[in-house]
Amino acid sequence: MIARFIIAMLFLPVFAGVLYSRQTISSSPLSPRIANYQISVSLDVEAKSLNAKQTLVWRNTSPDRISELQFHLYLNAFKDLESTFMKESGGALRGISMAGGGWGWIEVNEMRVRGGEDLHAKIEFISPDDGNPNDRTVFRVPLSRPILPGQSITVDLQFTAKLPRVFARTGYYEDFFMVAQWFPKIGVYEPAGMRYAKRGGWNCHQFHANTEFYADYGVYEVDMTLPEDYIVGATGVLKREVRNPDGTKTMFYRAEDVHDFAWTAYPRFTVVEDQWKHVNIRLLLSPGRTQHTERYLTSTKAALTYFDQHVGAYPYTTLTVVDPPNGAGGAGGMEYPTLITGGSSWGLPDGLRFIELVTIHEFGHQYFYGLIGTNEFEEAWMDEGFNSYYEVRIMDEVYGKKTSALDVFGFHMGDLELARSTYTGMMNPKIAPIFSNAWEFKAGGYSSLTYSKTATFMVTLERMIGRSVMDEIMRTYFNRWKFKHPCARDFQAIVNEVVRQHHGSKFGANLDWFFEQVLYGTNVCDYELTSISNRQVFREEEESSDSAGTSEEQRAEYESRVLVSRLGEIIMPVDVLVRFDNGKEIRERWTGRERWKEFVYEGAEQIVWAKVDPDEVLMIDINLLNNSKTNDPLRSPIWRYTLKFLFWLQNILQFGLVF
Amino acid sequence: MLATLYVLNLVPSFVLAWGFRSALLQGFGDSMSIEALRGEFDFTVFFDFLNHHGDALTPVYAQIVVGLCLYLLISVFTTGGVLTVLNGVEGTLRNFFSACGDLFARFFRLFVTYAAVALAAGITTALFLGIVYELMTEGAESEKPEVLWLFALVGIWVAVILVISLIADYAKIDTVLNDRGKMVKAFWRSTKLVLKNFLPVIGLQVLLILLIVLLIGVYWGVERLLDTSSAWGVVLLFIIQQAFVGSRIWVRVLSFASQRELFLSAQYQATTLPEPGPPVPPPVAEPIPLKISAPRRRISKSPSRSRPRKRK
Repeated sequence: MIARFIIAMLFLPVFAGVLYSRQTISSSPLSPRIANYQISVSLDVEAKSLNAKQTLVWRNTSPDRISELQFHLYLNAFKDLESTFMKESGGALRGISMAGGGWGWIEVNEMRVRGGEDLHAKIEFISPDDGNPNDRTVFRVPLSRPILPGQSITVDLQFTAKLPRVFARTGYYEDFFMVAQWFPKIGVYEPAGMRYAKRGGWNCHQFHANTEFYADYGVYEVDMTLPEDYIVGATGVLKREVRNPDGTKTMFYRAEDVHDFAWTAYPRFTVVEDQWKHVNIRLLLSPGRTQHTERYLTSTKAALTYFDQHVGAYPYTTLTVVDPPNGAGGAGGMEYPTLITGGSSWGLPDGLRFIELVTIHEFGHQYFYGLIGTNEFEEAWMDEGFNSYYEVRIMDEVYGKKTSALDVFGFHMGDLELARSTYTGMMNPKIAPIFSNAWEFKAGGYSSLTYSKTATFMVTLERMIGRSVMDEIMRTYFNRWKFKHPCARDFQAIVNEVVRQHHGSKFGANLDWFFEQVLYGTNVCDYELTSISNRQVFREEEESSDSAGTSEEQRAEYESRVLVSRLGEIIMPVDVLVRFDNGKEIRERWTGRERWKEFVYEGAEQIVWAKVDPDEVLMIDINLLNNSKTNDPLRSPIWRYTLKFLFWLQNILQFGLVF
Repeated sequence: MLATLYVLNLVPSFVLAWGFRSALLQGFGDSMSIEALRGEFDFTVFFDFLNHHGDALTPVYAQIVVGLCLYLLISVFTTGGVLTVLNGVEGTLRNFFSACGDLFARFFRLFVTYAAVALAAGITTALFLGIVYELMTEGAESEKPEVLWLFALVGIWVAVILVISLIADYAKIDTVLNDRGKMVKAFWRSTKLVLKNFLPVIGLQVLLILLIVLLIGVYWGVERLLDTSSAWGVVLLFIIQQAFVGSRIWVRVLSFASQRELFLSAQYQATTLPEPGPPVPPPVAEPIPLKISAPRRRISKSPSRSRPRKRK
């Protein structure tokens, strides 16, 4: 009895720890909690490998009998050059090449339904997107007993993984580890009627160079064992930490209502903690980067505040911001639930707002990816594009409209300007519609269209309907679809609903015409102020006799014309502002449908200038230079830049005298 | 002479800048968007111009390349005139261009020698410094050592090229003062001179570089204060810019003058204070007949009274 008591006392801390780690964070579930994971993983820092046991509890919330499961094995994208990821990326992503010898892979060693059949032998690799027989990033496993509606299945797995040398989002660099996309992850079962599904089936895409995320929400309980000197950052909340006799430690994390789990480990992180309302911000800085502490924290808090005020509340209590070390840039600029990776460099000038831009962008994914679980494979614009739209708003508000992206040596650029120019500067902006599968974009088209064109058309929409209406749309969208999987038509329905409430039929029965053009179409928008003219006209004698005491010859009467044209195929309602020499201004409304339209005025005054889209509502217009004409064009800037050019030329030529 | 050099700098630059102005005029036309450039730089206007009218600049880029090559030849051409005038010849246009023509062939050969040496040294040094960079930054845990080493090594590379340019400068002075005809030899003699008098040569050059840095600082300071949104502001900008360009040309001529003085001083020391030679050899039984070469034709006996050769 005493022995039992002593044993019980010895194990009490362990049991208590386990119980503590299972403690919930939220008082009630925020999400449907369909896919729930318990993972025990050990990191071999020498071999750069993971050994793990995983238990998945998956709940069938559909009305279907499900007779197979499908899983992602993301790390196999880095297995060899034959994977779909490597073929699409050409072995390089974001300018970083896959280093030779740094391959990564994952292998499921055991897989069994708890208390039931062994599934391991039934694993079959499939390639639903491109039929690539050498891609090993998705597998299916048939079940002898189907999962009935409302039932759950518990699957125990054991897997080993070799991390790649950090390349795209995940991997190691020397003793830095970014462990992401690392475990067998179940796909999303879409019953008929969900998103675009006509009949029930798994939505489980291969790992592509452009996109990777679509998963169900759940609870993750992850414990990782690794050397004691490593500093860890992870999704969720650290519940406890246990020192092991062999010089390792085990850290127990719990994350609720998230759809992924990532972690990082590095012995040389400098940890900076800060608080924003209920959120503990944990900044993990690499060597030589502590100078950027304030930049990271200021931008993180700015993003938290902005999203809280304009979209909805951040429901988690933690946010970890990771600054990957020198040489591990491939891990930078990524988003995982409650954990984001930034990007910086020693000595980065304040005017190069790369740190702020990346931090704000990646934080935005906590909403458009994290809290609203869109399918990034199929509708990347709904996470990257919406997020870029908010990145533009926050950056321009916090760091200035003309200086938010760049402000060095007299050169400056706003984030909206950057987004617009990325789209309008495309070799062929008509190359594809935004609404495309992410892996089907041609080279360069993906980011320019899903990120930049979406941000630009969202700004255009905002300026058409007003900022407050736009905010209401986004708040409604957030509240209605958080922890769910909306699609484009769900968003459109909210736009139509809210705009109708505020503007009635000002924009027609709905705004589908807008989305048809900018989202589903490939056409471009280009309105032009083609010409302005003033022609002297001679009035009839009877008319001139009406003028009190003024002779016919002394009066100047003009017929003034403004010609506007639609050069692009996109049709948008647009204003035309005309200014006369007596200071009078006339604002015309044009449906923008006709190829051209002429406005004619008669009177004593002449037109001085005219502008189409004077308020720059149509940011999606690919050429803003041709939006205005004046009779008295300003020439001093031409001279100013000519003289600057002359000056630089003289100095360059002067270098010739070095000889 | 300064005015001549300034005009030779301004005229080709102005021709090229006029092409740039035409491209701007063509691109902006009567658009009001140019007004955004009245005060500061505007990225959207700048980008839309390049995106839709960038082709208009293509011929300007080509003209700049041609202009640079042409100006290089002009600078090779004018060096002879500059050094001859610094040698005391009256700086009339006739004298200046006469000396330019007389010395052009030799200075062109010297330029080719300099370019070959600079290219070879540049590549070799870059390769060597690249290896040093790799060794020193391998496994660096932050970018700090990488950036600092990069700056340091680029500085060393620039210094190497600068020293070669200085050697070329002294070779030019040697050519004019001592009427040298073989440019490779002149270059080699200058190399020895520069290495023997390394500290004064570099010290003088550092002073001249500091002078240019000071001028740049003054220019930037003044330009930042200027309001160029009005026509008068633009005119003032032009005046200040041209004053800066003029002062740079003046510094270059000053550089030649100072180098010439240093060269003469070094040459004087070399002739009046010979280094102790080897011990006198014991007398031989029969004297060895000396081969006497014809005396070199010199431009002048005394540097202060030197004159350029007359053109035939």
